[in-house]
Amino acid sequence: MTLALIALLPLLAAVITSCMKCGRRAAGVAIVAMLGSCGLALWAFGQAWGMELGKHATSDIPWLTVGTTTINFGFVLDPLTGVMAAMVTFVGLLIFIYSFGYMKDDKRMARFFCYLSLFASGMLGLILANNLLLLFMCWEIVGVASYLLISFWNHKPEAAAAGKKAFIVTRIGDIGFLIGILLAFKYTGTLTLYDGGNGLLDLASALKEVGHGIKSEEPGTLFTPEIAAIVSLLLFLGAVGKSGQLPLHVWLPDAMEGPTPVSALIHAATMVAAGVFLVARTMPIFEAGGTEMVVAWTGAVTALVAALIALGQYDIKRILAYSTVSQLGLMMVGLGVGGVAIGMFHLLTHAFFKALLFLGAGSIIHGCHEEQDIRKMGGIWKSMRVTSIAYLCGTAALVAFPFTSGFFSKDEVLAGAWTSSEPIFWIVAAASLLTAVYMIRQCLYVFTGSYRGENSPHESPWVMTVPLVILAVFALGLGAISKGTILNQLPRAQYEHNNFVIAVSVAVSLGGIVLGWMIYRGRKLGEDTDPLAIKSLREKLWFDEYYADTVGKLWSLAAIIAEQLNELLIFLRDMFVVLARGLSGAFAIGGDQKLIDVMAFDGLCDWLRSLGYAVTRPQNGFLPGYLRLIAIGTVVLGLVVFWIS
Amino acid sequence: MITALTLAPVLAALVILAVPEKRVRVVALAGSLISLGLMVYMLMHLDLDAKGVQFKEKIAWIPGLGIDYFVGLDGVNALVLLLATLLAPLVVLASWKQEERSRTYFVLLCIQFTGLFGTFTALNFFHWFLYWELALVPAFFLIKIFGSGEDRHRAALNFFLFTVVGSVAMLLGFLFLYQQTGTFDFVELARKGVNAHPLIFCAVLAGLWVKVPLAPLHIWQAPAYAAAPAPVAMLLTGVMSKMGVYGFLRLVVPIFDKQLQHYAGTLMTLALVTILWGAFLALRQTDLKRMLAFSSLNHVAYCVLGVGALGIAVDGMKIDAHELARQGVILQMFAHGLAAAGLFYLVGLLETRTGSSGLGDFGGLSAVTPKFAAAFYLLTFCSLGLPFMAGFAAEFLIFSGSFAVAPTVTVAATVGLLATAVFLLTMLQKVFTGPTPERHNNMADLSPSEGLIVIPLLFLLFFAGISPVTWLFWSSVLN
Repeated sequence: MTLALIALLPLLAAVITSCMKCGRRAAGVAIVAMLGSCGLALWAFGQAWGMELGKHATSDIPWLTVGTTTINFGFVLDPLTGVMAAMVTFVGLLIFIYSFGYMKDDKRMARFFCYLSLFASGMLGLILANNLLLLFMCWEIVGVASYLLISFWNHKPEAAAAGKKAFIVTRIGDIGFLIGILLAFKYTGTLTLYDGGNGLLDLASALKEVGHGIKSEEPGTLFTPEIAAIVSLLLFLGAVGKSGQLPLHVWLPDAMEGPTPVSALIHAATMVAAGVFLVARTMPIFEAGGTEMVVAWTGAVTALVAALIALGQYDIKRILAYSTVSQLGLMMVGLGVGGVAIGMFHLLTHAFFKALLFLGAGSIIHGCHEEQDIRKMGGIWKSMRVTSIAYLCGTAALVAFPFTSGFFSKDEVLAGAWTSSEPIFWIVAAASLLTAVYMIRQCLYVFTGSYRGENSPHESPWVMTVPLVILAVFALGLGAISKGTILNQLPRAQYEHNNFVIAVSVAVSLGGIVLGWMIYRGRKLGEDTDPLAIKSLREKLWFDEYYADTVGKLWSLAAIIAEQLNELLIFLRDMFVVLARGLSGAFAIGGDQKLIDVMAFDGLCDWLRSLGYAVTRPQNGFLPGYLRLIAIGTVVLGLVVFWIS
Repeated sequence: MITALTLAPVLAALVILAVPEKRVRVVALAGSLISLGLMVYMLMHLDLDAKGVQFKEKIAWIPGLGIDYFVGLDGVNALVLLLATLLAPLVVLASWKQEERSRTYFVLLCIQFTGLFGTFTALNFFHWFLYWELALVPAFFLIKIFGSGEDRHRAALNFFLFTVVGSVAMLLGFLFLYQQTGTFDFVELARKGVNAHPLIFCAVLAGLWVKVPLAPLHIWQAPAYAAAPAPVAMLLTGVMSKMGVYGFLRLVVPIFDKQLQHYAGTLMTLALVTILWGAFLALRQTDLKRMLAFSSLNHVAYCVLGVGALGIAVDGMKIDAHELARQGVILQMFAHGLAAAGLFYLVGLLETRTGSSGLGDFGGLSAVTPKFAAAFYLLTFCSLGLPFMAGFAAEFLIFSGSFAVAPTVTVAATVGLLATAVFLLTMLQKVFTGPTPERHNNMADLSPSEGLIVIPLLFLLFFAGISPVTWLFWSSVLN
């Protein structure tokens, strides 16, 4: 019940604030609810932390009973839930507070906090859910809340379009997820995750140990490794959509049209992490199906491609967006090569430093009068000291500068990759190098030189900078503090952690910084051409255009075909009407007039008349005529009688 | 009890003929509320231990032909009858502002209510068919006389002819069946089980096929929905489109079970074609009402997908696929009835306020009319299957049942879910976001009396989505 409250408090806040007009009061309600939720989550975290590996505390109640099938809904508490819920509520709380400052001039602030609370509630629900269907339902709530938040400033057509795009692209993944649920439901008969040995994940774990189909009385629906593999890939499709992995990453950069706190909440710390969390949660199914390397490879390719695209962007938030896509790829690599612990560790550190970077970017944008183009910034260091220092802390963590939190988690990902697949290791190393380059590029653009905009920039109010400072502390220190406990509390693969890996890890980080410095040193930023922002990278490798030309065209074609077929049907109907008219005409003239009137009725009458005429002719009153007929009759009768006898 | 429920609206129609013109809507509302009250009373007083049909009324009518007047309430019709009785008062409220020829209008509306209630409660083909046709005639006149647009006469005629041809086929089918079995009684027919010629099955199917409708006999639907006045469109999409699906559950599943097993694959394929066709057609529409009509085509076809799943054997399944599909179909009728009726109502409001219903005529309305936008968004979300609203629960049940028996068709049908999201979100985008055109700057927001119609719908949709088991209680307990 306490667990349920973690998700229900923000939901309650969402319901209350949906009826409120006053933005400040709504913000108060939302923040208080989030505070309560955060307190409960930290308590749950404490409860979960002492738990033995592989133990799960669950509480379920039946949601739906249909015939002999029952679906139970409930919540699960284990270290994975605990750490994720604590992170989401804590980062969420800071973002809520920050939003209070960021949105204070917006007329629809109350509605903003309503959507934020709805989002938080969905996100916490999916973290706590002990049922794949409940998880999916909360997952969709998260999707719809992010749709509302991205298109919050929906008077801007781009914002409305971006929200729609986010919803539809993630829905492609969601449909895969749904089919995965249906498949799992059919073959296991349950959607409960942990159920004392009978839950879906219990069965998957057992399947992994047995290595072949679990014996059951019903031969028709055997849960085999092949089925587990298909289920896991379908679930992964959902994760790919939500976590912006290739090839469904295209929505995430566009989603930066939303208010900046939304970008921080949704696109750094929580929603995009939901995909990673889903894979982490259902890891036993991936292991049973042997599909971990699909996850790792998808992540590795995404990490590299997104880091490349980030090099060519000029919008401060889009650079961070592609950076997020890239880092999510690293988390997927971590899950695939090193197990839940590695992926979750990077997710955790990333949530703090990327939320910091987004909120820092928001503060910079705010200070630069809503300017997002880094070519028009510059010299921010002088006017926004607190924001700048915090932002540099986040940058250090993102580029994995030694002993920041990002360093520890990325190091683990690299170590895991080194053990299981060398190509992935080198791809990840290359992506890390590029990460350092694009971040240095961005920082040089934003902080050095002199201001290139029009009105001079100003520092943001304390309600915005305090969350930055708190996040900065975590971005620097969290890795060192939490590394040991996280790696011990969550399941992970065995891998070797040698000095070579550490050396590469440090080398790509520092090397990238130096490389970026060499390239951009002494250039007139914002005026000279940028050597890395080549056309293909500026145009994001034409993913959007490619999709529009293939899937988009095919889609419109399908719609046109549907419409033309409908027109054909209408044409056929009209032809049928013409035919029916023609037929009825034919019947009216040919049948009614000719056949019935002329031939049948008139004909009969004519025939009767002429018959009557013929009959009346002999009866003309002349006696000799009658006598002649009598004589003929007598002769005929006589002949007949003679003939018979 | 059921007879009273069925006849209350038609009695109200008689009273309407006698009272002054300004009282007619009150009488109509009273009639429909009596029906709703009786319905609620019956649901509260069910005998949960009894088997079979409850609140049975069986009177020999034409004993020589073995025809009884036989009505009753069971798991198949409980929820859909509740839907019809719930929507009836809301439709009357939605027509409150009908001034022109209001007496005729409300008389026709009340007769139609009786036709619908009668169809959902009759258990003997003889008077079931009378009600089935009775529901059609007022709808024809309501579209023809009170509809909008040049096309309404043609649309009404089309609607009428298509359905009548289907009905005649069905009538013939049942006459043959009567020759074979000597009874019109649905319960009796189901108990005996018929061994009918495929043509008889096809004839019965034809009537339902047109009514649902399934492709390719759907072309009457969009013009009729677009031409009908908004409250009538609510009734058409909310309740009348359920008659066909209800017919499948009442006639095809119990009586023609052998034939259904034989043709289940064909039926599911047809449903799939309708789902995809409807969704892609909706993508191309530029008129809100036509778009919603095709959306309705798509959503109701999910029901037929579930019905088809009932015909495929489920030996050795770990889940109760048939029951999942069956309950899903029943819940989907309820969910779609409420959501589609609500959307048609709101589009109707939009049309009365601005005089247009084209997709491109609006923009930025969420800034001008926030409450209206909120209601519209919520109903749209239900329509596109957002969890914790009834549509999701229903579609999940249907899909889980049909996936278990026919995975390929079901997976193909999920493309429809994506297309639904695309066109519904495009609709929201075009109507509610972006800059507001000058002429809509003073549009009135949802008034409290209009909220009175929308809020119950939303409440029920959320209720049935969060706790579907409360609503499926009747359809699962009464058997």
